[in-house]
Amino acid sequence: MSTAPAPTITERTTREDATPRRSRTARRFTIGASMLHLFLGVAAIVWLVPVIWMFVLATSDNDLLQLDSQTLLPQGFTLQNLIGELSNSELPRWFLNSLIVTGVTTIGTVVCSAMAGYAFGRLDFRFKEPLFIVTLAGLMVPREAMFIPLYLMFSSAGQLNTYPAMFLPRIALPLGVFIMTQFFRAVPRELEEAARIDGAGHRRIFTRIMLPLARPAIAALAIFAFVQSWNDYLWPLVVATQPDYYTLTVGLAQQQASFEAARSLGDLMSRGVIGSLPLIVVFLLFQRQLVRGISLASGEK
Amino acid sequence: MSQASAIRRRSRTGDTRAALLFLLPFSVLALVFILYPVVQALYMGFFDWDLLTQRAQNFGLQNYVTMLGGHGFVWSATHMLTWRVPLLVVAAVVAVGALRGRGRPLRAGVVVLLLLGLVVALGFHPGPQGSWNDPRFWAALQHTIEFTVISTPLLLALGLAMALAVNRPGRAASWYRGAFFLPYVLPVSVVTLIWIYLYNPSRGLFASVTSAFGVEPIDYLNSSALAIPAVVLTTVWWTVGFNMVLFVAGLQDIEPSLYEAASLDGAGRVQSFLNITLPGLRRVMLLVLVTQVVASFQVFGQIYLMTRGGPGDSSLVLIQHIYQSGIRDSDLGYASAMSIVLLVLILAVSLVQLRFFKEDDA
Amino acid sequence: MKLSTTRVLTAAVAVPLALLTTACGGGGGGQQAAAEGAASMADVKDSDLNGLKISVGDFFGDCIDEVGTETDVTKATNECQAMRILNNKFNAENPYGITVTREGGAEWKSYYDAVNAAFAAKKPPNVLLMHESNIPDYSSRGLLLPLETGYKATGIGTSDMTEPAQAAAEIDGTLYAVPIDEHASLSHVNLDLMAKAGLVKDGKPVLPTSPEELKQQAQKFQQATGKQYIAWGNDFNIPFRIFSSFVAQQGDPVVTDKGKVNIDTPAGKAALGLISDLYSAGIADPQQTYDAAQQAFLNGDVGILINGTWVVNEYNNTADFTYLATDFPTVFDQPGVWANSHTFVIPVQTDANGPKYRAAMEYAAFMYKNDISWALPTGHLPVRPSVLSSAKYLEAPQRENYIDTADNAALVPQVRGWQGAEDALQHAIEGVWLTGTPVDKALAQAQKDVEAQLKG
Repeated sequence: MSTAPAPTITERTTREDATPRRSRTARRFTIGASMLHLFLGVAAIVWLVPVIWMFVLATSDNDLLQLDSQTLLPQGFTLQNLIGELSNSELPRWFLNSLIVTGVTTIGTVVCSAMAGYAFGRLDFRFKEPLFIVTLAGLMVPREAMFIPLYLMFSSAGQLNTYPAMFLPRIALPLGVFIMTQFFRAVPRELEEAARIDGAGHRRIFTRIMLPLARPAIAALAIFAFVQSWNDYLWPLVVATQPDYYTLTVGLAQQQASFEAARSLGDLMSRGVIGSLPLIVVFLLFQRQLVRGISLASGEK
Repeated sequence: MSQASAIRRRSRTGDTRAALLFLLPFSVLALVFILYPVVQALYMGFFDWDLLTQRAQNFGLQNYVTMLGGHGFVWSATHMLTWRVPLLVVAAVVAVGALRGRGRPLRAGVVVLLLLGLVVALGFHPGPQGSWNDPRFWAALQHTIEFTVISTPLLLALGLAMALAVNRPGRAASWYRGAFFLPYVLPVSVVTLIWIYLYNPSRGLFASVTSAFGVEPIDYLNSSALAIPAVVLTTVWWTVGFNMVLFVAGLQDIEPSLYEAASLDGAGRVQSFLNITLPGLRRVMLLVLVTQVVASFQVFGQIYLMTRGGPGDSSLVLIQHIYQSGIRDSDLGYASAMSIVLLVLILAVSLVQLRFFKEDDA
Repeated sequence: MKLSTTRVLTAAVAVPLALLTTACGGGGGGQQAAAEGAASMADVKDSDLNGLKISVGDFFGDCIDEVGTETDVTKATNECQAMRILNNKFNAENPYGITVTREGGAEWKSYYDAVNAAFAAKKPPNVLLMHESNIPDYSSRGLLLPLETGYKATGIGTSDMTEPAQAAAEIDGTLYAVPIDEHASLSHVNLDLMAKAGLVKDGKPVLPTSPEELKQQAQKFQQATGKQYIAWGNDFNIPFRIFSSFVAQQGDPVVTDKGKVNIDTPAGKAALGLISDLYSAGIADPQQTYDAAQQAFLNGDVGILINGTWVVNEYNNTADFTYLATDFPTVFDQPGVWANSHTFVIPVQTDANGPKYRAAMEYAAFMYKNDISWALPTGHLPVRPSVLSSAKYLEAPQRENYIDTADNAALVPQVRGWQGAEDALQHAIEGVWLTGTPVDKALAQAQKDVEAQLKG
C-alpha cells in the first residue's frame, strides 16, 4: 500500500464518494443491485424503528398508551405531550447553556487538536515520539472514573456553576490530536515547501495552507466533539448545581423527579424527542460533510 | 543538494520553538485535566480517603490488597472453562503457525507460554471455605471483559459489513448511511429510555414481535444470562454507525486502480477483498479496534441506566463498581485504586493491539 | 451567564492553584465544628434573620412553571408541586424575612450522589432533605448539626411526633433531623374484584393474616376472577421492602440501628420462603416492573397492589373501580411494614454562622409544622399525632383506612453505609427467583454481603 502513489489532497477533496469499480459492476448486475437496494432499504427502516417508535409514543395520548404501547401508529395522535414539555420556561435557558458549553468545547477541541496535530504531523522536534505516545496513552484514561479529582479541583477553586467548569476539562481530546496528526502527516511536502520558498513561517503555513486543507477533517472532528459534549451527563450534573446552569441533558433528566413520571410514557418520550431533536437536525444538515470529512481524516498513506 | 531540502534542513532547527507554541494549548489542558487527575487518583489509592470529609488516613497498600486479595484458593481444571478453552485454542493456533515457520518462533513461544500461564491461572478460585476480599470487583472485571469480547467483534464486523454495503454512489446509499449513523447522535439517556421500553415484556415491541412467533415475552434486562447481551445489542445499534463511517472513509481511500489491476489479473471479488480491501483498511481497523476496546472497558452509562448492574450483580461492570464505591460508599481511596488498575489494564491491552499490528507491518 | 475572558482566565489560573490545596486533603472540623455550630444557634436574635438567603436541596424536581408564586398548598397534586408551593409559602409568610431557594438538580435516583459531591466540595446547601436511613452516613462524620438547640430556638419538640418519627429524628440519642412525613408500603385494593372473590366484609377487604391464608385467598381469588391476586413492582428494590416487612412482622428488623444483621435467621427464611412461594405458585409475578404492576392494577387486572403512600391520591382519583387503600397485610405475628421518612437536616458549613443555621432551622421547623399540608397532596403520613387524629386529616380520602401504618412503620435502619447494604441485600435475594438460587444459600449470601457492606 505504502508504495502506491498518493493522490494529492486537492484531487481527493473533489472526488465524489464513489468507487468506479462498483459503479461499473452495478450496471452489469442490475437485478442483484435492486435486490441489494431492497434489502438495504428495509434494513435502514428497521434500524430506525426505535427512533420512530419514540416519536410515535411522544405524539400519543398518555392514557391510551396505558392500554397499548406496542404499536408504530400514534394512539390518539396529540401534540399535547410535546407542548407540555416545551412550555417549561427553563428550557430555552438550558438549550442556550448546552449551546454555549458545546460550542466552546467544539471550537476549543478543534483548535487545540489542529495545532497539536500540526506539530506532531509536520514539525521535527526533540522527544516528539515519546510525547506522541504519551498523548495516545491519554486516550486510555477512564474519564468517567476520574471525575472526582476534577470536581474537587473546580470546587476548591470556587468555580462550580460556571461555564468554564463545564467546558475546560473537555477540550483536550487525545483522539482529536491523533486524527489531526494522521491528517497532516498525509499532506504532501511540496505544498508546504512552495510556501516556504515564498518565506512563509509556521504560523502562516498553518493558517493559510494547512487549515483550509483540513476543513473536512475538522468538520468530522467538530461533529464528534459536538455529539460527545452535547450528550455529556455526569460532568455537567455535578458541576452545575443551580438550575440556571443546567444543560439540556441534565435539565430534562431532572424533570423525571418522581415515581409518577413513569406512568406518562408519552411525556417521557417527548422529553427524549426534545433532548435529541437538536442533534438530529444538526446531523441531517451536515450528513454529507461528516462522511466525506472522516474519509480524509483517516487518509493516511 | 537541492534548494528544497536545504530549506527543510534549515527549518528543522527552528521547529522546536514552533512546536512548543503549537503544542502549548493542548498540553496545558491535557496536563491539568487528564494527567493531573490520574496522578491524584494514584496518590489517593494509597489511602483510606473518605469522600465526604476529604480525610485521608493509613498510607499503604490496603486498597490493593482488598481489591486483589483473598483466601482459601483451590485449583480446578473445570473452572471458567468458557474462557480457558478459547484461550487454549488460540495458543494452539499460534503454536501450529510457529511450527509451520510463520512469524518469529521465539516471540510465538513467549505468546504461547503466556497464554498457557493464563489458562493455568484461571483455574484458581476461592474454594468452598475461601473467598475474594471483594468478590464484586472480580465479577465486575469479568463482566467488563465479557462485554468487550462480545461487543468489539460485532461492532467491527457489522461496521465493516455496513460500510461495504453502503459504499456506493447515489442518493439512496447516502440515505442508508444516514439511517445507520443516526442513532449515534442520540444522548445515552434517550437511547436507554427507548430500549428499556423496547425490551419491556408487557409494553415493548420485542415482546410483540416474539409473541407473534409464539414465544413468551422475555424480561431481557432482568435475566442474568441475557442482560449483558441485551445491553450489547443496544450499544451496537447506538454506536456501530460511527465505525461504519470510519470504514467507508477507509474504503474510499483505497486506490481504485488497485482493484482494476486485480480484476485485469483475473482476481475474483473475494480475492480482491482479501488482498486489497482488508490490507487497505488496516489503519482504520486499528483505529476502530483501539478506540472500541478502550470505550468498552469504560462502559458505564447504558448499563447503569438499563440494568443498574443487575439482576444480582450479573451485569455489574468496573466503572459502576468504581462509581458506587467512590460516591455512594464514600470510599474514594478504594475507587481510585480500582481506576488505576483499570487504566493499567486498558494500557496493557492497547499496547498488545498496537504491537500486534506493528508486527503485521513487518 | 457572562462568558467573559476574565472569567475563563480566572478559571484557568485558579484551577491549577487549587490543585495544591486539594492534594493536601485536610480534614474538616468534624464533630467539634458540628457542636460549635449547634451552640451558635442559641444566641441568634430574630432580627439577625432579616433578609437572610438560604439554599435548600431536595429531589422533588422543579415544577416552578406549574406552581408559579402560588402559596396555597391545597392546589398541589403531587410531591413536586407541594414542596415548591411550601417553599413559596415559607418565603411569603415567615416573619423573619428569610428567603429560601432550591439548589441542586439531581432527580431522586442520583440525589445522594450529588449531595455527596457537594459535601466533598464542602459546599452543601444550608438545609437538605434526607431520608432517615441516610442520616448516619453524614452525622457519624460530623457533617450534620445536632439540633437540640435548634428545636428549642424554633419551639418544636419530639413530644408531638409518632414513635417512628421520633426514631427517625434521633441517631444514638442525638437529634439530627426534623421529620416531615412517614411514607410506607400500603395495600391498594380493587374492592370490586375482591367482592367477586368473596373477600370483602363490611365494605372492607378481608386481608390474609397468615402465609397459608395468603395462599388460600390467592387461590380463591384466582378461581373467582381469573385475575392476579397480588402484585408489586420488582424494580427500585421493592422486593427488599416486602422482605423487610415480612421480617419485621416476626419481631426483629432486618438490620438493627446498632448494625446487627438478622437476615440468615428463621424469620428471614420464613419471609424469603413466602416471597419465593408466591412467585413459584404464580401468585405474584417476578417479571412485573413498578410501571407494569401499576398499569395492571389500574386496568382492573389486579386485586391487591403493594405500593407506597405516594400513589393514594392518584389512584383514588383515576381508578374506575372501587378503590381502597389500607395497611400492608400482617401475615406473621405482629404488624410491621417497610417505611421511611423524609426529614430535613442542617449541614455543617465551613463558614459557620449562627443566623444562617437558625434560618435553616426555621425552614425545617416550618415544614414540620405544616406536615398536614405536605401529607394531604402527597398521601404521605404526617408525623404529628395531633394531626393524625385531626378531622381535617381524617376527612381526606382514604386516610383513615391506613392510619395504623403511622405507628406500625418498621423504618429502614439507621446505620452508616445503608444504601450499599440495601443494594447488596436486594441483589442476593433476587437470585432466588431470577436465577433459581435456593433460599438458604441466598440468605447466607445476603447476610455475608450486608455485613461486609456495613463493615466497609
